[in-house]
Amino acid sequence: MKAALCIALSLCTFAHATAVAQVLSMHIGPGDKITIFSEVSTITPEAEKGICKKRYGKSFITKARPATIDSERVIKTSEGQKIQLLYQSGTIGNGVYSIENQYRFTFPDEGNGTSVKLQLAATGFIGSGRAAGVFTDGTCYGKVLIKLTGQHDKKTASQ
Amino acid sequence: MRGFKRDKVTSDGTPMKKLLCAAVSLGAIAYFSSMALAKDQSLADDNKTMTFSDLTLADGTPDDGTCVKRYGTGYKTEDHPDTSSQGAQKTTSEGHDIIITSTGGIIGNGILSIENEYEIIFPNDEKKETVDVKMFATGLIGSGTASGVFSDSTCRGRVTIQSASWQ
Repeated sequence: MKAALCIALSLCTFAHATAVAQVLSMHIGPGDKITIFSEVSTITPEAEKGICKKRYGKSFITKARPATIDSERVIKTSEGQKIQLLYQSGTIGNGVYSIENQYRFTFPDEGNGTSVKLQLAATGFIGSGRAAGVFTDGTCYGKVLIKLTGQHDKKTASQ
Repeated sequence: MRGFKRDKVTSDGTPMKKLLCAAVSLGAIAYFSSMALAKDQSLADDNKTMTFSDLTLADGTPDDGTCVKRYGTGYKTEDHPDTSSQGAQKTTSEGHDIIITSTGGIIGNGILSIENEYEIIFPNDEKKETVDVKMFATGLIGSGTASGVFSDSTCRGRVTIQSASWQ
């Protein structure tokens, strides 16, 4: 009985991990991506003035990566942020997907390698080349749009 | 169980397989509890206003009429009058029967996300067919609104969810 339960649980976990890998390769699509933040504000009033604008005031581009994820999972953006994928989750199916990923963001102009844990939650249509959602780093939160840089804006795709 | 090899045993005498199983199970439990937490805090039992847009078939091709018939008008959920029934948990002023089959998502630090699944019987469906619908949405806490996507494997589109509990 116990062995059977263990096998069932392990299979379930394995299936989950596999689905997540598919989410990553399928969610937005291959190619360079631009990340745009909006409606950014601070969670706590005592946060440093202007900190959120400094962190998220500028859009950045990330270059397409090979389909296989390298072991370190660290990428550098066009604006100099370093992004490390810490945790990935989400659901995919029937033409739609959701992403719930956690990253470590290191900002170039905050000195001493200051970094924050950033939680991203986004949704999209499979094959649309864009995901829209929200983010928080515990100090700042707001909306986020990630899309392929080669893609032209379609009116119907705006959110 | 005859023919099974004996488990390898660690230094304190615990079989390796058991430890691995415990680790995997704990992982699974941690994963599911975090989803349950989200459900308790925000997602399950309050009533919501749902509106739909950008309706197409699930593969992105134009709607053949099915989708506008199901989702052309939104709905506002209400608690089902028969609370003891094993059937519908929610109804709407339009006459939908809705069962919440799974809830998930995250909430905290200013944001929320929803990964919910429902079984819906649409009011204008003569066959009273149960349709499985997935809804994924995200929003800023305080805005009262989350937006995202939905699919029932025939139709997909955008969904906007309004809830008083996110104000």
